[in-house]
Amino acid sequence: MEELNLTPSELLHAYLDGELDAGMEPQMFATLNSSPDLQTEMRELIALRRAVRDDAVAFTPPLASTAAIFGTLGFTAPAVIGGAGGFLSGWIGKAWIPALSAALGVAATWAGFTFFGQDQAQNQTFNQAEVQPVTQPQFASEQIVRTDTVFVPKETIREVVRVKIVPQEKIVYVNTTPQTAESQTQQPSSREQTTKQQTDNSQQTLTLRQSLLASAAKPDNIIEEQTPELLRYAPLIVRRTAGSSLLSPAGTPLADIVNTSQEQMPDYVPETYPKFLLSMRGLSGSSLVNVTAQAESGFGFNNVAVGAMYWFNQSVGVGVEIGREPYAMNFRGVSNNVQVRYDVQPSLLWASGMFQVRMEPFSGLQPFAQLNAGFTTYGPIGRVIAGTYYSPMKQLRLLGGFEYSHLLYTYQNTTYQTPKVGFTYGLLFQF
Amino acid sequence: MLKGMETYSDIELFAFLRVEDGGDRRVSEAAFKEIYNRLSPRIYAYCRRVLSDAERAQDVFQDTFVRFYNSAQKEREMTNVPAFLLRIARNLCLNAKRDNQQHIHVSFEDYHYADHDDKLENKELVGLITKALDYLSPEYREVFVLREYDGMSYAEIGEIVGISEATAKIRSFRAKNKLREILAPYLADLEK
Repeated sequence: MEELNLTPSELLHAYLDGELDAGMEPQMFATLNSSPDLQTEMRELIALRRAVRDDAVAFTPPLASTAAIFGTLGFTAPAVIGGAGGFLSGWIGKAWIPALSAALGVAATWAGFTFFGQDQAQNQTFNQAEVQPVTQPQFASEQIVRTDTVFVPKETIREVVRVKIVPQEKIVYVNTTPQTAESQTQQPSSREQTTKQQTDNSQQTLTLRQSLLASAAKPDNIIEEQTPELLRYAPLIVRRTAGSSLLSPAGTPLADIVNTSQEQMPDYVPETYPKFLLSMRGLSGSSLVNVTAQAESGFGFNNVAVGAMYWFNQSVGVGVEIGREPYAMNFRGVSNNVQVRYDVQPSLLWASGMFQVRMEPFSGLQPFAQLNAGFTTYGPIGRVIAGTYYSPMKQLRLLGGFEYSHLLYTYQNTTYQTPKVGFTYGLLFQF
Repeated sequence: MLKGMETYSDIELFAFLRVEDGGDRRVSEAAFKEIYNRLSPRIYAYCRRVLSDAERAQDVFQDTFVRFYNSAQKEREMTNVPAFLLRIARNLCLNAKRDNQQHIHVSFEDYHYADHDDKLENKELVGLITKALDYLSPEYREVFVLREYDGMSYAEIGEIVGISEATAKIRSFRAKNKLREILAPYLADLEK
């Protein structure tokens, strides 16, 4: 009932304060409708209130004051407010999350690669010992023993030795029981042929024995062999066996195959191109524009980018990527005839095309550089990323790197910009 | 507990500030940061607009939060954290006014707003309000700032300032009318 005694102006103030009783509103509006002065007063009060709310100077504590308060209490200044270090402290303050993620990723990769790799190596050795039969490699050189299959007793495998390939040399056979071998190679066609053959064989055996002397001086009687084609598959694994009887191409008896060769394909399997990849990466950066507004959360999908890539070859690829991350925006404009300074940090959804160049891989790493060009709901955005891939397994690549992005936006015919730097880290799945 | 401080109420955060009874200092620091993020603009606005001198306003603002944290180590009950902070700020502002004779002061920021802007006619009002506040009596100015800058209810203003709610309303009403008088020429221009 107290409001019944209020003047029209007081009623208007109470209404604008949200404290006017609903029952009094008809009276206030009736007065307002018939009173130009009251209408003027209302417009002025609204303008006054808007001006107060746009008074950014009043609502922005100086960075120095923030740093002084937190310093006095022995605390670290909050990054979102700015702090003594400004951009740098904020950036470092956010860096621990991707740094920790990267460290955990590296540790997990190392552990998985180490233990999984050891198991594989052990299994591989075991399987090789179990192989029966072992197929001889089909080397191009005619000098190499051509046998379809050699059944090697498991217990005869004494060791596996890596052999250095020397170009343009012939196979050297080690004949430990020449007499027995020669008797096995006699041809029953005629005595002359037999005599000639024996002479040839004796000459060849003599040559081989001379070679034996040379090879015997080498440890483990390693047979050396070479064809130019084999250079691509070096190193070879040579199985040292005993007790098998085979013939050389020239008919030289070999009572005891001291060494047989088996080709071991290298671990490296060439990549096939083109290929498709899906990427997902985290974004952790700081805008190089100081604002007091807190970063918008982005409704769960924030500081993340997903993309699809098409790699033409080992060096070049293109793709598309979409992401969402906050950008600090500081701009000015006129609102209701009042100059307003906007201080916001919205989470922007962006989409871009990308072009990527990759270097030759080394030690499991493959450095890359990437250019993105796209747009947001506010304006165009460009992005440069430099980093490296690490491939712990064929279908998976880990990535880590630094990125710089630049947002351009226009408000009331004035163009503004927000640069941003930070880390990126993520995964690529290959198909 | 360090995560998600923004989910706690002001009163819960205030409880986290205590470290003297075995509280975790890291939690205390995180809680203080959250309170600072929430309330520092309002407290600074109060100091900045009640005191005309920007440097003194900053000194009072800093002192307010340091005293607030120290008080939190002793206070057991807390029902309204913003009001508690504003009460500290108000006492410090009164001390500052008592220690220094008030005078009309135009800070660099205000000068910048008033004289060096490309669109003078549009930017003026904020700076003019700042200046006009200096022409209000301290009682009216304080209530106006608490109401318009800090968004306090009249009941809260009455509690902080030590006056009745009705008195707070009257002071606010008169403060706005006084400002309208001072700014009338400019407000009239804005209506055109």
